[in-house]
Amino acid sequence: MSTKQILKCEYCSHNIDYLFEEFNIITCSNCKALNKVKDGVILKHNNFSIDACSRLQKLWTDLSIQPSANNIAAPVLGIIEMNYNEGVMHVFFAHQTTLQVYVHFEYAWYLVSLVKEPLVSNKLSYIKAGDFADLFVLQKSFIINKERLQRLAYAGNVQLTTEVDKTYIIEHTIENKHFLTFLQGEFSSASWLLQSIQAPILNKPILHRMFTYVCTVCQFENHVISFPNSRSFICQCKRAYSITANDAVDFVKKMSNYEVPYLEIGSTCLFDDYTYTLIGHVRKIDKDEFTWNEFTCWNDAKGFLYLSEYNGHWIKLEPMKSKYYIATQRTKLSKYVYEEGREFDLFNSYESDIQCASGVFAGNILNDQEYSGVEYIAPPFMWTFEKPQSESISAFKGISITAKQLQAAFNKPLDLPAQIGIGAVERIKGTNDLVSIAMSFLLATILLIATHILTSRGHRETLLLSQSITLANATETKFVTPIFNLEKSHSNIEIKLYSPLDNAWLENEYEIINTITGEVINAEQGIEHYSGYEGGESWSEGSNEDVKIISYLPKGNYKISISTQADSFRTPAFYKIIIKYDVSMTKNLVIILLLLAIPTLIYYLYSYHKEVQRWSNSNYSPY
Amino acid sequence: MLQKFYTNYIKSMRYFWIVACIAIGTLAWMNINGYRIFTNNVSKWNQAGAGYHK
Repeated sequence: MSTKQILKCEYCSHNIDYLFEEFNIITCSNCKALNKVKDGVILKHNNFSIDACSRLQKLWTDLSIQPSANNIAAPVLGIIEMNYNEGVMHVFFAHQTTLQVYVHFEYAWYLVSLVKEPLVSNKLSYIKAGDFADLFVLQKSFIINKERLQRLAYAGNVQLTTEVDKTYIIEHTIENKHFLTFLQGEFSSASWLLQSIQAPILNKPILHRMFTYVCTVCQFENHVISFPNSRSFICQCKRAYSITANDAVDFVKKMSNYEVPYLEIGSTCLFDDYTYTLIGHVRKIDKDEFTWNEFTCWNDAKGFLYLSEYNGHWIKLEPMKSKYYIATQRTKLSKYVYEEGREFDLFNSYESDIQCASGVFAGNILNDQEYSGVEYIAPPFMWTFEKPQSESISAFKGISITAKQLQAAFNKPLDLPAQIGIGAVERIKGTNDLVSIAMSFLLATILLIATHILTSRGHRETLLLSQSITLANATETKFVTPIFNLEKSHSNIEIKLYSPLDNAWLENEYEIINTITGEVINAEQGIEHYSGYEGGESWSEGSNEDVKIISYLPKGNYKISISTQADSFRTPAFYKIIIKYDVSMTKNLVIILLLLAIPTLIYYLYSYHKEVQRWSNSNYSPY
Repeated sequence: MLQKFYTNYIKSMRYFWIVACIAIGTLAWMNINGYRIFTNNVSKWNQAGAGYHK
């Protein structure tokens, strides 16, 4: 809330604009000293130890933030930098009509609103990532991350809601809401609701910086370009180092395995119009001794990106900070997780160890080397949830990429491992799931029926002839119809033949004569019907009637010469003939549908076969 | 939603839809021209009839 008070600096008595009552730290524009404020009054600073970050202090004065939602640059009034085990978080206080607070961590941006609900403080210090905990009254939070705050630095005018001492930052989620809560001992000092936003534009690059360390043993100059989001690296002399919260470098151990990865560290690759630098390689091994490679890439604006390779199949993975609520679904031991209605099936769960590593990594992979992970797939997409021992849960969304796409991204030929089998989320040409195949066939059936109805509406079904012809014991007769005028460019005639046959047969030969051109079409039509009583059962075969279609008949004047032959033993009394012009033919629809069902079935069987192959690498195969 | 529908049912099954479109076109052509599929032993052009006299 805006107050616009004038306060006097505790150090130099210069007037300071006190713009928002939310601020409890304000900086004197004259002497740059930090003053602590409570209830609009500057406090005596005897016990106030200032841990202001000189780097931030140099920058905050002209810094402005430009949210992507509008084009108005909002001056940044203050910055807080919070360092924890695995990375760093920046909080920006920007003046946009009201006070707006933005948070940036792990390369995602959020707009902050303060949560005023009371918090339950019982046993909060025991919670860990992966738990459900009562952080809010009557609401279970899923704990994504719990990090010990190690250093707090600030500049300008800020609202400081926590202190470093014994403070944990808890990242948690309820349904699809994302929260940060600061815990000091058993109590929470603040809780923020995070609303994921598109990256606003900062006019100064302050969020990361290069960290350089010259190895004391081999004198190699190691560049950690993703610092402070990276806090561990392995030198080419196999020595593993971690970077402390105070930017000191600790030697951790000498790696037993080291190898130069087949994708060169330091090379660049282009994904989604962003150029990434490949900074690290890890080969992981699970309990069954399956190994896979993970390459870490870095872009200053986008953060981390991972390229995972198993059996020559590649998946591009990105951290998904704003979709942690998906991770909560898996804690119910579900075989599925859902993202926007799309089902992802449990494909793999593993416990892995690091077999060999080189370069720079996200966070500090040397803290814990054993990882547990779980993978859900909906090819070509994958959700991976990974949890190093006692650390935060990481969520990644991956998409299958081909070796060709990878070579294009690196813009050079690469010596890549040969492909074996089918990848977990590999796109397989010419395959699809049963639901999509069935839905497509259903849709095609609807379209075929609609086409049939629309194109059959023009059929006139004109009656050309309906006549009974007496045979009177004659076994052979001949009859010529009157001349018919067939008007349509092409159409058909239907000849329906009926005779009261009693263990007899009758056959007609037709000469359909175009009276103008003299062309003749020959056709035959026969009926037979036999019945009897044998062995205590009556039987019958054949029929007294038949329908014949003469199709694709060009327009013109026609007459039909009908020659009849009948059974000489039981000659029927008469036969009846009905001739119609331009009739609709439902049989066409049925046959086309049956023909379409054949490739559909082949499509499904091929897809099924390929899916069986895909899932042969999984312990959770539905096949 | 249309995009999702296109991706799930059309784009991913484009070969099926090529066959389906051919089937739809064929059905429409057959119906319009009174052509019956598999009209076995039904019609036969006989050019010998050219010498027929009315």
